[in-house]
Amino acid sequence: MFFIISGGKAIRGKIRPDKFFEYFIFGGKDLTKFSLLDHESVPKHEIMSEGELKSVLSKYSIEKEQLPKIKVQDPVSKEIGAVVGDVVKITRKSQTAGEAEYYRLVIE
Amino acid sequence: MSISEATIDSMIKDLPLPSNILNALKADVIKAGVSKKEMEEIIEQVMEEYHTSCMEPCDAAGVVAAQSIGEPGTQMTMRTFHYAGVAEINVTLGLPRLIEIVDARKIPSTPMMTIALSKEHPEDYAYDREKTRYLAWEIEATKIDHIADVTTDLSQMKLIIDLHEKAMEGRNITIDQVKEKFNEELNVMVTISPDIDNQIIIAPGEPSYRELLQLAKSIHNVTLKGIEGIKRVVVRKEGEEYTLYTEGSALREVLQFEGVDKTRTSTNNINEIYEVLGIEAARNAIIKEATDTLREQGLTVDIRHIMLVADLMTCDGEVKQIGRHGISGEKASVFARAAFEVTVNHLLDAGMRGDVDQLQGVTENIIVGQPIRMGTGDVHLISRRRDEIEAAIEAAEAAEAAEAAEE
Repeated sequence: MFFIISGGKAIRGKIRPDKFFEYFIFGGKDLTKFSLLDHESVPKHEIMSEGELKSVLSKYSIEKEQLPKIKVQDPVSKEIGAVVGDVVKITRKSQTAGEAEYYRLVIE
Repeated sequence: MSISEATIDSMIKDLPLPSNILNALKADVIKAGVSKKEMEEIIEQVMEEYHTSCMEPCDAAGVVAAQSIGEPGTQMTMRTFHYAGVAEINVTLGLPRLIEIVDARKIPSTPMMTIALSKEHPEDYAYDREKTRYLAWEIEATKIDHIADVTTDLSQMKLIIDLHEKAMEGRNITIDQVKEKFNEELNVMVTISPDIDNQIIIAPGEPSYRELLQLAKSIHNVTLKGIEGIKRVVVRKEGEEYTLYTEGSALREVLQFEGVDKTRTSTNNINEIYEVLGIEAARNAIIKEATDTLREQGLTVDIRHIMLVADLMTCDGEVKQIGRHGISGEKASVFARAAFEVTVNHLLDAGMRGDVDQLQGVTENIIVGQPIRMGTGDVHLISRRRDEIEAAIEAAEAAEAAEAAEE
């Protein structure tokens, strides 16, 4: 028996060794687990890097704490493995702008 | 001579415009075929037009949104119950529904789910009537009333349940399953009648009339099969595809079923969406439910106003209502809160605590009779003495020169 693994979808979050097989991606489709991010009303969430965050904050000249918030217990924060203090970049599909970026600070 | 697509791309790539304007611009320019000089002209005109359509700084966006939603709200029907286009599923619409949305009620008055079915191959659930009906019975909560007649035998101190074979077959449930379920849930003596087909006899734990009558009531509440809270499931064919509509909502449970399309199944219970799919999905749900409610009444409200409301309700990472216990109740200013609802309580509490109002907002400045910090009221002129400015410029130049020298 062998697996055909093709990288259709990126593996999200940190992989724990005991969960390794849950994250096996089979033919581009995750067979074991349904990802919340696949739902049509959940936009793309990603954790921002320090550098990216800095440029956004300086663009709007604000502090991190002034951003909108997302809870660490939020199902999507859990899914992408965000921790308190991270900033999540959300790429929304917008009816008015086509695509819009939004940022949320992860809080308790 | 028209320019190539790559040149257009490089010209519009760095413009500070939203992506759909860029796409429309690119498509039109390619269709028309323009020269480089014309393109520059077009970009300049587009940018100018874009800037004039943008909201001005210090504009009262919230007030405009409130009026734009409030005025059509006066034309809404006060009390409408409507069938959601689907056979007999009742949903609250009109003003009561809109109020429900902005009040962020935990449970709407008529919860309803739209269950999309998987359609990965031609024989999948969405295209198969039999499979769909089977799934519908799996989801719909089956109570004893659906499949049997219950009679109370007072002389023998027992309940006699006569099961209908046809009904049981339709719902795909057997007499043993019914017995098991009663055993689990009620902690009583359940026996299948030896003489008569499809009959179950239940006797209360202690032989007392009170127990018996209590039991007669409580067996009606036992969910024998399906999901608790899903009162009814309606199968409907839309185009090629079967879809299930339910009265009652249980998103988390329904997503576990095989054959349910996990990516397209949704509910009208915003709080449930927040718990299962997160804050961003909840924001989208607020926008969708509010626009649908308004549209159903034949009212058009620009989506931007509704988006502002939805963003405000979700900006703290949880769904907050617009009202005393949510947005308005969390205002920093005592005067602003007192101006909204329960005036005396707010003023009294503030007085006891010795709160200080910074007079930063609109409401409190109107109360004390000062210019508000909106529009022209938010512009402040700060003058500096001429010699100070000159000194500042000199210092900046000196720093630049020093930097250049270092390099």
